[in-house]
Amino acid sequence: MSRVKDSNDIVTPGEVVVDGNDFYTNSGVYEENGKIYSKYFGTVRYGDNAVQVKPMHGRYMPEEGDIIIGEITRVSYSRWTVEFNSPYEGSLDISEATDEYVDLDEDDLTDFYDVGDAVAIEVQSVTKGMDVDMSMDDKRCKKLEGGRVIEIPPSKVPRVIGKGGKMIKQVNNKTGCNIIVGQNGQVWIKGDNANLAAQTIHKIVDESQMDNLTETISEFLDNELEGDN
Amino acid sequence: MSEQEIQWFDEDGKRIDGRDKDEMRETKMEADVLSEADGSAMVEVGNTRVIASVFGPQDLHPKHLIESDRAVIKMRYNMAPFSVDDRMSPGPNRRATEIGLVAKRALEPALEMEKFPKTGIDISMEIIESDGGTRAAGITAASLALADAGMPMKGLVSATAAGVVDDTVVLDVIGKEDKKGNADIPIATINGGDEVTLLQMDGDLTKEQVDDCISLAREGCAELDQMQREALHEVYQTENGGDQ
Amino acid sequence: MQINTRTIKELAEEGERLDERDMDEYRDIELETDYIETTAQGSAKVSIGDTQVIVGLSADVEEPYPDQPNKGSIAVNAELAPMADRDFEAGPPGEEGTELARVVDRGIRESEAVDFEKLCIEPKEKVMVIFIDIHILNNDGNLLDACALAALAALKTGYLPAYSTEEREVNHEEKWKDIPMTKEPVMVTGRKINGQLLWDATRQEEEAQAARLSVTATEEDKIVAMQKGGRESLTHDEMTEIMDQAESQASKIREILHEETGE
Repeated sequence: MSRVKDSNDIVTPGEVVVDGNDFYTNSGVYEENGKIYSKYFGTVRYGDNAVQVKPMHGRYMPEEGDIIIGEITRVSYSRWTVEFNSPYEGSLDISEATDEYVDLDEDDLTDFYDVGDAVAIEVQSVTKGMDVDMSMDDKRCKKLEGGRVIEIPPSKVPRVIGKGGKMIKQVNNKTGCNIIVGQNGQVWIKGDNANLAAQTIHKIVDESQMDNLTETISEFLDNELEGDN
Repeated sequence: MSEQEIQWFDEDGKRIDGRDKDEMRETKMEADVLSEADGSAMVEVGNTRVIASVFGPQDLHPKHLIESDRAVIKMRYNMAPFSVDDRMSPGPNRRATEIGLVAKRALEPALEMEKFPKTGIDISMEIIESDGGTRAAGITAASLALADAGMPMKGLVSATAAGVVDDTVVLDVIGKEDKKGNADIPIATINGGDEVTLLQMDGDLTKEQVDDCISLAREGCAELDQMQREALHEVYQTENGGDQ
Repeated sequence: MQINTRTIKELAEEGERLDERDMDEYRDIELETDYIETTAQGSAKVSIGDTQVIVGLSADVEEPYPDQPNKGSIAVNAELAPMADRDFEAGPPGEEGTELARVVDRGIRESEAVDFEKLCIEPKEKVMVIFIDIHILNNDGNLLDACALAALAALKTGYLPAYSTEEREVNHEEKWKDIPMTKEPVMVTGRKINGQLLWDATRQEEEAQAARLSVTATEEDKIVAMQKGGRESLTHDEMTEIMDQAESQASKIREILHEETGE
């Protein structure tokens, strides 16, 4: 049995990743005729005797525990509907939205969240039938006021955040912007240098496969900020 | 020159456009060409040029199409009015409807539709310039666009047509050859292998000729499969100094 | 997302935009003529930022209208192809597509940019009609200006095919002559967002707009067509400003056109 592709190699659907089937197959691969193949245009990852392929692109599929950025699109009697750039919508129940006592017949739910509000919100649970429940309980959750939301492929979120947050902290510090990177690929940016922060994040995505990216981005930011002075 | 006078092969066995009988036209492919679509690709085979786009998985309308355990494909095949010599009036026509259907069937076996219950995937193949082989180029482009869109697939689907011209089996039939030739057999396969997902034929051939056509077309599909993978690899540069 | 729309409006009040362009600054304009080499009688691909459109020309021979017996014509059609925008649906052109085609048509027709009399083959019997087909590839705003430019570029570099009166057939392979052009009408669309005017809106900016005015101007600084859109009103002063801008922006765009056509 041999690895045909190494960790971080880019592969395409139907390409052989492992010749043999001694690995556990995680997501993004399938076994056939004693070989392991990729299901995606993506990158190979090995770990713990298992192999997987993470897709380069693709719309976000909600996963429990993810903090994402979404928009309230509907207010109902006791809950709100949240859209977050996914094939599926989420539902935020009043019980997960606030600790305050709410009288559903008297109080107006739009006092809390109204249609068009952007929120950083947690995916609390996802059923097999893709019913998605959300919660504002986590301390990272909040309504987003001002600023802008840009979109990147969800698969690039880890790269944009970086190991231990190193990459995004760099962007954060040098531009002085507030940045929240949603796991669904929506990124909220607020600050005077918001445009530069946005451009930088797009650059990280475009050059995600290159080596020494942290340095490249650091230089880029320094150059751009110098140019402004 | 009347029909009977056209010389389909010259003394060296070259076809009217200079190709050998088992030679495909010059083919170029590029993935990720549109920013709004979730996935996209452009494929050029000789003078035939197609752009494919994928949106989804996403909400599906009308609701009666929704399937509880899988995604549903909505496929569109359209020829731009300026894509043919005699301007084609815009609007649906039966040929386009049929091609949309067989193209959908060509791609479905390779897709993991069960991963996205209750959703729709909108695929569009726009022919912007036509010189024969548009459904094949469209399927090849659509498969690339699906991979670009991050769809989980068993493999890539590529398609080409083989035919018989002047009793000779040829690969990648162009417009002129198709109009006056004996037969046209478009075929699609997964991963350039032996799983056939599209097969159509018009003509008047022996079983042996059909068999030869299928074998020849499969070789063509294998060539295209390689090019599709190269096109995907080119979406992200991996070395410094490259063009972005 | 509405958060972006709100921020766009706030920034506009300060004379600023999300991408830090000036209010009257266009994104990069790229133009390629003869894009559809083998089947169209003229064509162009235009990108403005990420917006991409193609125009292809097809010429055909028809009987002239009785009231214009020795004049040919143009016919403009726009396809808001589903590939270009998640919200574009397949089907016959709706309001947006129809308006786009008609406004582009008006700019060319009213300026008499194409010399219709020179399209005449046989008075009262046969004239050439140039079909101008617009195909949107990718919508990131300002389709109007992009399509009008692509149509102009296609016409300027296109040709009329030969027509054989004996065989009563058009021969697309043979050229009769270049398309006879007399003017270069260029469309420039100004939009109002939160009381401020800006040009070359992105798709997101269009969602924040209160109103728009498209103005088509010729190189003689004559205005030949206008179209107001949007849910709110424009003041007389705002319209004057947009017309003034149209003249200066049109010259810049004409320079880009001339670079491509080699004039």
